[in-house]
Amino acid sequence: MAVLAVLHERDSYGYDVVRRLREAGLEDVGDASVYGTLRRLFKAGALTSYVVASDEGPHRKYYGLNSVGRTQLTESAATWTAFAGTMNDLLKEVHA
Amino acid sequence: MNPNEYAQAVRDALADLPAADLEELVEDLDDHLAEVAAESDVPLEERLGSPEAYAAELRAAYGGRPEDLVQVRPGVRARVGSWAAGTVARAHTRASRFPPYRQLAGFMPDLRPAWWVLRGYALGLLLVSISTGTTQFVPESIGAWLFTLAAIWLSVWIGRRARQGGWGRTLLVAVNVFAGFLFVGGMVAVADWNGQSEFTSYAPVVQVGMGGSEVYNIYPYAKDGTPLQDVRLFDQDGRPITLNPEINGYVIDQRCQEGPTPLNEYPLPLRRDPYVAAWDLKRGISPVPAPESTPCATPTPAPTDTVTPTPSEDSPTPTPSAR
Repeated sequence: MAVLAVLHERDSYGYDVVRRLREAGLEDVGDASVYGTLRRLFKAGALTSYVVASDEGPHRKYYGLNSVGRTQLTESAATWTAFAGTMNDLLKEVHA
Repeated sequence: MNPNEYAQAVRDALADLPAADLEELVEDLDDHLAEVAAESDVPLEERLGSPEAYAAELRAAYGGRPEDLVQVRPGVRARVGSWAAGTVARAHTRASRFPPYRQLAGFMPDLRPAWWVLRGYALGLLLVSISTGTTQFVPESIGAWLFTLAAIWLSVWIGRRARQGGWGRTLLVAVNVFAGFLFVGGMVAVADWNGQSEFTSYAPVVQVGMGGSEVYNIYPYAKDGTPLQDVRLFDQDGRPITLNPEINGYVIDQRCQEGPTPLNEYPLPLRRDPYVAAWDLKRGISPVPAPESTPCATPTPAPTDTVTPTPSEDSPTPTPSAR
């Protein structure tokens, strides 16, 4: 879901997704996990991909959300928000 | 290790995947690793861990399948099972939109113990019926009761045990379905008695006699002293007059009957209730003539001290019984 959210912001290629997730605070995210997740989402039909030639390095395969991916993101976000809200309510006592 | 070597090592670690899956997974791995390597001079192994660990992480993120299950394809039975389970689950989801169904589904688990008792009762009685050769809807003897209770106990014990998979579960489902049919079948059979009990409860039970002596059979005689058979008696309202021989330890002998006899057809083909007869023997009493010997052919008026048909003046005294 985090990968979907990053790609929702703007299309991106594998290592860039890793970098942006780490900047966002998920420092421990594994390179392989992100790469594997991208391939899985692509295989599941949630992502489009296109290759962009790069001057200084290798070709980069950019991934972007298609309608399936956007729907999946919306649903996941709703589920997560509801769950997080419930947990926050439950933990209110602990913080107080 | 340069990116290409690292990528190759990862590929080797994933070699057990189906070729198509592997190809799709590592399609861009070289480019991706080159990107990672280009960013820093620190060797890939230090930044990403060993190729094997990288491969394991990749596998987990890609398929979420543990390594040893990757190649396992479900057998036909498992697939049919999951298809059936899926169909049931979909129907459940659809029906869950209706509040009555949700309530029903909510308290069904509470009723499970009741079902355990019922299925134990049904199956226990089935075994009793088979072993005694008589169809019993309610246990008829102490032994039958004990056996039925044991069956109920066993059924509850099985029900309380943790769920188990495999053939045991399949067998249990089959037994449950069988018990369900058996139970419904038994209920339908018992329902046939509804009409009869209405008939008998509607009919008055005539009680004659003083001080506890009770009439439980009637022997009609013609004027000339000929014993009459199969005489049906009714009261002024057309209700059948029936007696209550069971109270005196007699049952209607069904062995001579083809189909149910009207309970008001006299003389009743009575015989001593076998259980009462056994009790009589124990007490050393043998007050009962045995009509069992020839119960059907020539229904000898079964006998008792109290039944003495009033003879008319010119009739021969009817022989009260084969004493």
